[in-house]
Amino acid sequence: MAAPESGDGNNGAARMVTLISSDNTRFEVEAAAASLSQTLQLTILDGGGGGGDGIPLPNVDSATLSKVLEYCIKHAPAAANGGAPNATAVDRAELERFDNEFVNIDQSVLYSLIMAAHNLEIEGLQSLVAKKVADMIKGKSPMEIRRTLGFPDPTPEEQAEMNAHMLEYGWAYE
Amino acid sequence: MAAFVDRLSSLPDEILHHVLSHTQAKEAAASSVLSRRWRTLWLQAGVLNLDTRRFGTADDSYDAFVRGANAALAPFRGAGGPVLRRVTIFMGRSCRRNRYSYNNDSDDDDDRDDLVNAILADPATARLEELHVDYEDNMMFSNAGSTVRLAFLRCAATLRTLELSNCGVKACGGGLGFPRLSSLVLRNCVLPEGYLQDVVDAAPALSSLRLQDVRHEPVPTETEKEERKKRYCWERKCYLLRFGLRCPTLTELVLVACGTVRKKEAALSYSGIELDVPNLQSFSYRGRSVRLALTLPMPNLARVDIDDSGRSGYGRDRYRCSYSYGDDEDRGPKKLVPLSSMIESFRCWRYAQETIRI
Repeated sequence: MAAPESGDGNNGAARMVTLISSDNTRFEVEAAAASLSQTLQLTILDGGGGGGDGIPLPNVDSATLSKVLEYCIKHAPAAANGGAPNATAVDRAELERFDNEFVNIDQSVLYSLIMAAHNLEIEGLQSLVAKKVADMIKGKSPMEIRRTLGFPDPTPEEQAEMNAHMLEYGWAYE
Repeated sequence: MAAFVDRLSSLPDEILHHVLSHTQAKEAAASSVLSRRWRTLWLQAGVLNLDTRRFGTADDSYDAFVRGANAALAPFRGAGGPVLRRVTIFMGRSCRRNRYSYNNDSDDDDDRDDLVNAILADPATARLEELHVDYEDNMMFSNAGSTVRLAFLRCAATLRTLELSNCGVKACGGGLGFPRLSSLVLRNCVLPEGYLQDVVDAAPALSSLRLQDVRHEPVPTETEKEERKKRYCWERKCYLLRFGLRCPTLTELVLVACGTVRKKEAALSYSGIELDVPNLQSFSYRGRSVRLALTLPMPNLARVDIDDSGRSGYGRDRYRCSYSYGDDEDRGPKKLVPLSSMIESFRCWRYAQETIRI
């Protein structure tokens, strides 16, 4: 269906695509950035998303999508470099700094983000957020983890079950 | 259209598996207490990250780690139980100290009770697809009990990714066979000369090979063995960049200052890299200028990155000195040559013209 318009169809570097969030906001980004998403890559390679068409993403709201695209735009040059074994230390440090700051966000945004990264199959972003969430569990007691992750307080019954379980898994709480 | 997710627990299992794959074994196991759903999540994730630094204090970390690793592996041992697909092992310095410092003289038996090899002999690891082993800070003691025995890997038949850092790889009796291995990464590792070729030959699906500061040690004679016990630190200063590899399936090759351990006198006549990798698509070399010999044609080679400024560039500073030997005067200024055309790039490269046949 998506007939590429003359001029901006297969024009390599500067080609733009439009993504449409669940709440109908349109985002125009470089194809190279959007292609970090395995899901979108094929569509884009087929020439989709250009011009007035746009690619609808019914599972991603605009707030999340703008965050996702922020990541993609930052990481697109390095990705285009094929994993860049010879990337300079400065470049790597800068990306790392960006990543650290990028996930320094509200938990609910984090969860929407990991969901979106999963749906769009953006490997780097998936790992980045998963690591962040894993860090939230690090070094905490089960009760603290429950609170951190937003579990309701356990019923006495659940508490008893937890205690028994903790005995069984004693090594994990040493 | 659940666009807004306010709680971790409302995420699908698949994502939670991914999250748990980034936690240490202890935390993953501890998460099983959270609720009934979480009880099996870490088992289904099939990933164990075992880091000795996370077990006990420096003094009792060895025993605590043995207990912990054993308990973490236990649920994966049953035939019909959950499958362990990925293991990462980090062996901290403190965890080895007491065990091995007295054993340096028994060159062949000292790693018999090495923890890593014990874990890799555990039935729980028989179906691993991915294995990462990192001995902290160990490369100066290649014969002191930090060796991985590839021939004894339980998971050889299923392994796809193997990554070893800071350890020795020991050739020992028994055949090698890695039918599914597609990616091999060795960092700061010491191998017997010729063994890498044996490993590569045993991996018919290998497509990506990354070697960083890998040394190939000549198999020592008996007298050399004796001598080395007294002063092998001296011998290790003489590194030479000689490296040969043949691998028809390889599409990606990254070499960072790979060398062979040799006596200094033999240095000049012995340096060079010989590659017979006809299907290579991407080649990256970082290290000292050396002679490069390629078997042509390599019709698929699309990307070449060469930095022959003579430094490994990454890796730890203190190892860099290992690569400077007598004839430093021909070390040119930093030259980074990323070219899309292989022939052009190799013509630019100082030493290449001598040996490459175009």
